Amino acid sequence: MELVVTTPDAPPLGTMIADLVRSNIEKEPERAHLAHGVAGRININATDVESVIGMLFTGTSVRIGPELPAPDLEVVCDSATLMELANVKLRFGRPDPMTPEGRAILTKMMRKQLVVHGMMAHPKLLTRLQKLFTVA
Amino acid sequence: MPVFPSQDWLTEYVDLINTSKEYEEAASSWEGDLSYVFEREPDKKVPDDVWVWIDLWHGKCRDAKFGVTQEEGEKARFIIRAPYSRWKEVIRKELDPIKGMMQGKLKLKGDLPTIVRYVKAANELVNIAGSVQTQFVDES
Repeated sequence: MELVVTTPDAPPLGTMIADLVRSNIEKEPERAHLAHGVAGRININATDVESVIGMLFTGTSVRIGPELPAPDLEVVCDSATLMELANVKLRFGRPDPMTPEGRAILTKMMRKQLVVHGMMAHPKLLTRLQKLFTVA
Repeated sequence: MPVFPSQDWLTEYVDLINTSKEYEEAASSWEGDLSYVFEREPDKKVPDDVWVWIDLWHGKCRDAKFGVTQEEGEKARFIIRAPYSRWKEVIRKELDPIKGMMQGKLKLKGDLPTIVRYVKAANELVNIAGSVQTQFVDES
C-alpha cells in the first residue's frame, strides 16, 4: 500500500506537498513511521495562492487532496511562510527557537501571520506534519 | 535590447547571474544544471518549445546553451516548464515562481526538497531574469 497518496482531485499545491513528503521519506526512510499510528485531518490554507489542501492521516497512510471538512488542524499562512516552514530546523517537533529561521516562524505566529488552529488539542498530529514536511 | 527568447537574451541573463552578489550568496552551495522550457504558443510567435540549459555551480553559471534538443534538456537535474506567456509574467515579476508552482502554472521536474531548500536562490534567478532589458518576441 502506498504511504502517501495524492487524490485525483488534489489541487496543484496538494500535488506539490505530496511530492515533498514522498521525497523526504525516500531520502530518509525512517520518516515513514511518521505516517503510521496517528489519525486526523489537516487543512493547509495558502492564502495568497487561494488554495486549501487537505491531508488525511488514516493511521497507515497520508491522503493528500482538496480541503477536508471539520479539520483537526488548520494551518493558515501565505506561500512564502509555507516555504519557511518547510525550511525550519525542528526541536522536539517544533521550530527551533535557537535558529534564526525558527525565531522568524515563532514571530510570525505571534503576529498571526501564521495561524495553526487546533495545535493545543492535536500536538501529536502537528509534530507528525512538521517532521514529514521539513527539508532542513 | 535582446529579444526573449533568444541566444542574446540568454547571454545577457548569464552575465547578470555571474555578477549578482545576492545570487552568489543564496546559491553558494548549489550544484546542478537546470533546463527552462518555454512552451510553444504559435499565436505569440513561439512556434515550437524552446529549451534552454544552464549549468549552475556554487553561485555562478558555468555554461549555458540556447535551443538545446528536448533529449539534451531532459538530462538536466531540474526542469521548469511553462507556456511562453507564463514566463513573460515571471520575467515581468507579475508571477512569483514559487506561487506559480503552487498554483500549477509552472511545472517542476526534479528533487523538490532541493528547490525548497534553495528557494532564495530560485527567487534570485527570477529577479535577475526580470532585470534583463527585454523585448518580448510577440511584441517586437
